[in-house]
Amino acid sequence: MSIKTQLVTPILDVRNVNKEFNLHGRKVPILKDVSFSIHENEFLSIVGPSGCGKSTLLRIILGLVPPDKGEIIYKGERIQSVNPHMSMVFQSFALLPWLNVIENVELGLEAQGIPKEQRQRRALKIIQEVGLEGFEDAYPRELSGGMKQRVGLARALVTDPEILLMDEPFSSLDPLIAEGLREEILKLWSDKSTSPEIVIMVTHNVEEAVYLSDRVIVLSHRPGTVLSEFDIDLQRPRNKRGQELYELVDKITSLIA
Amino acid sequence: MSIPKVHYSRLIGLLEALEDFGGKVDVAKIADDLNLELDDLLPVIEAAELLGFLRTESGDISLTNEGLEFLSDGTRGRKKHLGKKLLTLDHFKKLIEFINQKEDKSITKEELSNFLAKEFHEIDSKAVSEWTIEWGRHGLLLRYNSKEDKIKLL
Repeated sequence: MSIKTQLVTPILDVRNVNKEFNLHGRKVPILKDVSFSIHENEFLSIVGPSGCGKSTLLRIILGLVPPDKGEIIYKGERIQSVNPHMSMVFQSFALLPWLNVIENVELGLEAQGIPKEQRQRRALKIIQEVGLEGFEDAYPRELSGGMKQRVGLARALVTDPEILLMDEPFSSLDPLIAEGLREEILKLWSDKSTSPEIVIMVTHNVEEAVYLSDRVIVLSHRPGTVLSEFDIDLQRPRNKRGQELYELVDKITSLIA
Repeated sequence: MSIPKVHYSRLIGLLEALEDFGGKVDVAKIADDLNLELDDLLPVIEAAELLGFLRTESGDISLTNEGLEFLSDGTRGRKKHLGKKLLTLDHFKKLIEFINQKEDKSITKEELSNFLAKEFHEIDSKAVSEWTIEWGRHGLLLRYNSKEDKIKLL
């Protein structure tokens, strides 16, 4: 267990989470005794091989899927339904094709019963911040993958969430687009006036996790269980192609390969 | 090349990666690092060169001072910078003149495509129209509403 974990009171506690799926009447364990904490102002990544249950874990943290055993504690309270202080960015963008950019972004606010005018104002502000200005009336089919994911990000940020969850946000993007978008995420993250306090990202890309995060949790093959966690103490801005970063990447990769 | 024919986000990705390499790198090396084929990377390099953000010299690419400046701008600053840059291209200069001559200061996508074919002899003028709209939007020069099929100046 890292030093940070012991000293600071966590915002979110993942306690002993277990999950099984039913596959043709056979029980398949997906997650086994997963425990860790998440602290204020932390960018945390969860890495692991595909099929290790990391996306399921993210859905359990959000409160979308209940664990079979164990619990998620948010600021001292047990989460039993979707946590309204969180929002999620999906790998597949999950945009509604018949809505334009601003309407897709506003969707994040509609459920909250905020008046139309106010919704639009907030949507426009966040659209500017994520670099979608000029594309307000574009439809998803008119957008590149990178721009689609910006819409996904704007929709998640428009509710001003305390915790932003990202499920493989860059993995369906062209490598160049992913490269640029990671930088944008870091820029948003470093601007404390707009960013959520906590980001939890699930990825299979170890290099990406080390580059972006303050801490990396490593899950094992299925059933996913915490193998190790690493504090990433490299100074920001980081050099993605630097020696120190590569050493950490190698160390983590050797754990899961 | 009259305008960039790659997605803006890819251009940004290349410039950011190039900056990580200290502003100058062998083309094959950066392609390998990004897991891209050279064929895939070359149009992005051409686009960056057209905009004056990057220079090619034998097998190397390097950031220009303007490229560095562009990178250090914030999200909005980049858009403004890009807009200014696009306005130096004949493509956008003439297009804006053309739209301004219209009574309602707007054109349809088909009119755009015909204009590009006639004015610039673009063979695939339909595809170039799409790039024009994309870059015009990024540079905050154009608006396009596909429901009404209207391209307007911003």
